[in-house]
Amino acid sequence: MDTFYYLIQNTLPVAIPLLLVALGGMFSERSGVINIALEGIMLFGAYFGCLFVYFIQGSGIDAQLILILAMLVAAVSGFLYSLLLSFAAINMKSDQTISGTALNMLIPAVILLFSKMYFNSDGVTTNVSFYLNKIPGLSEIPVLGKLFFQNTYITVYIGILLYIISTILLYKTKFGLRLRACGEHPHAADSVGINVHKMRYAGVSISGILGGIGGFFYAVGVMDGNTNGHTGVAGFGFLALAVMIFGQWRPGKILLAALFFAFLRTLAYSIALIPFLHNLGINNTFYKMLPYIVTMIVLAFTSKHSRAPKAEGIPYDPGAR
Amino acid sequence: MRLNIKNITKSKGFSSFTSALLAIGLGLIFGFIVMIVASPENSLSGFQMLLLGGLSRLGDVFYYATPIIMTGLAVGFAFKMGLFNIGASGQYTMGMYFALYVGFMWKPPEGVHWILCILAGLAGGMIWGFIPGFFKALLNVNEVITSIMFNYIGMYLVDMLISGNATMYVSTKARTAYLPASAQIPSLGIQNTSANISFIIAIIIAIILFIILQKTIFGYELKATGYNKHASIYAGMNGKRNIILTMVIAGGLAGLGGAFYILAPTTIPGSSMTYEPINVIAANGFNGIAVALLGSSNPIGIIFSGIFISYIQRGGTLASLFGYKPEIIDIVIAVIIYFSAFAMLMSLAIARFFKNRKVKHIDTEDIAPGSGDPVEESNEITPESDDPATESQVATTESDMPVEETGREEA
Repeated sequence: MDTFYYLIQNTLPVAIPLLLVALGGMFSERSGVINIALEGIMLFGAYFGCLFVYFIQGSGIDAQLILILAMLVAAVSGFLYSLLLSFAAINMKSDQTISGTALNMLIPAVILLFSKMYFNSDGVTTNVSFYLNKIPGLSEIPVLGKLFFQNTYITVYIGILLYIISTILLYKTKFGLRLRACGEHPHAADSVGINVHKMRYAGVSISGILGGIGGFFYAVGVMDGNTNGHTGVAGFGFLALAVMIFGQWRPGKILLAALFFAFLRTLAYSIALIPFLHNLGINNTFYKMLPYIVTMIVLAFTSKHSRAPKAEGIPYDPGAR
Repeated sequence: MRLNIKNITKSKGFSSFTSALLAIGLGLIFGFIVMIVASPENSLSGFQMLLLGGLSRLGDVFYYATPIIMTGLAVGFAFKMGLFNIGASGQYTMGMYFALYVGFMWKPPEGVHWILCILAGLAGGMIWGFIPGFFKALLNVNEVITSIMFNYIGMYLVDMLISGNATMYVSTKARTAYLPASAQIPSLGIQNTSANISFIIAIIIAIILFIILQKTIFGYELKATGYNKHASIYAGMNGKRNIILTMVIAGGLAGLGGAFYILAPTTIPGSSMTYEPINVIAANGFNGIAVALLGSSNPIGIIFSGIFISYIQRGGTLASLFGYKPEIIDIVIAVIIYFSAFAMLMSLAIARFFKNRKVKHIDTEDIAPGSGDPVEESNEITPESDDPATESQVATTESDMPVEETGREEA
């Protein structure tokens, strides 16, 4: 039973970055822009978030407050970085996948260059402990308290809050309706006076904000408050895209998909604790491959009837018919 | 005479050449800015080294150019069909592993060993290229996601297989042993360089690909599918078979790149003949994207862009003499890719600015025929659509009417 608690407690901090970044991808794609740059945006947010923590960590501010401030920094940097994609994809009508790939390649190189020159390392190492041992009061609830309010990070609760806000934004507001229209049929949206370019900018910017936050939460929940240019975010941006596709571009299914992938990854990294799997004697590297293999199997079964936004990836051209 | 110049400047090759130059120029300028930010006092001498340093290492330029020409061809060939083969990295790694395996585990006669290794690399890449093709053609999974996933799977798999093989892996050194001499590609015999026969083979392969694309039915079908998938299926071309075939060929090209790289004899420490499993994705696969874009997916163009990228990489390595890190080149390459994705549009805009005379609009059709490049294709509609008039139209028609109403009207 303890192993089970351990797995759940460790799954949540991994699931939250996946969830947020997949939601970001969803906003971008439902506005009509394929955002493959999420990997780079995550790393950008993570790096600046950690850099902020690095400079502020000596000042004696409460760790949880630092985390929230750094989250804002990460959100702003993610937003700024996503503007590069917006500009290329919306104004310059470039191939969205190529622009995204370029942005993914740029960031690790920049981080490595500057970190090597100034910190003499591959990234930023911080020493603030964001870990929450117990939430007073709530952690006393039987079962649930142990599952959700012990040995965790504040990122889990912020993530769930952002998830609820995103769902409402997409489905219950005028903005969300317009955004979805631009991803399905931009000409129809244009004909009723929706500014397609503006909506797409908004979609990519939201994905930049969520991507930046997700990246920083990855650094907090998975990397213990550190970032480096070599491993980056270990393909989490791409996994998030797979989560989004698996979730059929819908928040509800995306949540389930994110939990599923995060559980699998946690399992892969906790093999030593599970006697049954440990005794099989399979190479550890195999378990590291597992999330990617499962992604492919899942995509093979779900993509046949894909519900992708119809206009995604196509630059909007008012003159086209 | 006047006609001649006009024909040249209006041709497709010329405009992709100018847009490549534009992207390179912007990439270098950005790199220079980064260098100034990083360390102002050394920036001028460092940048000079970056630009000209490659001249002193020409042999190595060809040595390093070979693998990225191959991955460039792998990306460019798939591009012609409208497929974005971001998985060149995984295919490259697989090719490398297969070549290593044959190099260490097989003991064929002296003369043919290295040839068998190269063929093994080809097979390894083909297998890894087949998978995204299969997923795309039969299961409708986007090849970009599949390729990325299989980059990771391939990298972990190779690292796992190599560190688990006692013959290849020397655990005290945390890397494989050096390949036996019979498995190494013969050198070109130029003194003090690592240039070898594989560079010549790469050029021959590029020329063969050029002929396939220009002169065969398969090449025609491939380009037609890149233009318009639905039209080509309607015309009776077997889309699914062509997708798989293209990806298998592209994978094979990247696999050859991996084999050429690992089998090349060199005196540069730690670069080839041995593999270090450190769970990092091969960068040469991604450099191939830059090479393909700069060469506008044309096999002949890719030869030159591959040499160019390798050239500035040498310069970037030498810039470390001034305290800069080799990553400066990765930055320059990323910026070049970013700009080349829309450089065609920019160079058109610049061209229009200069000859804004009688020829009011450079006929967009002039660019279209003969170019199968989806990147260009997506750009060629732009000259009319970036017209300020249409832009303002979009802005002025803003109103608050909800979307569902149009849906009903249309129905």
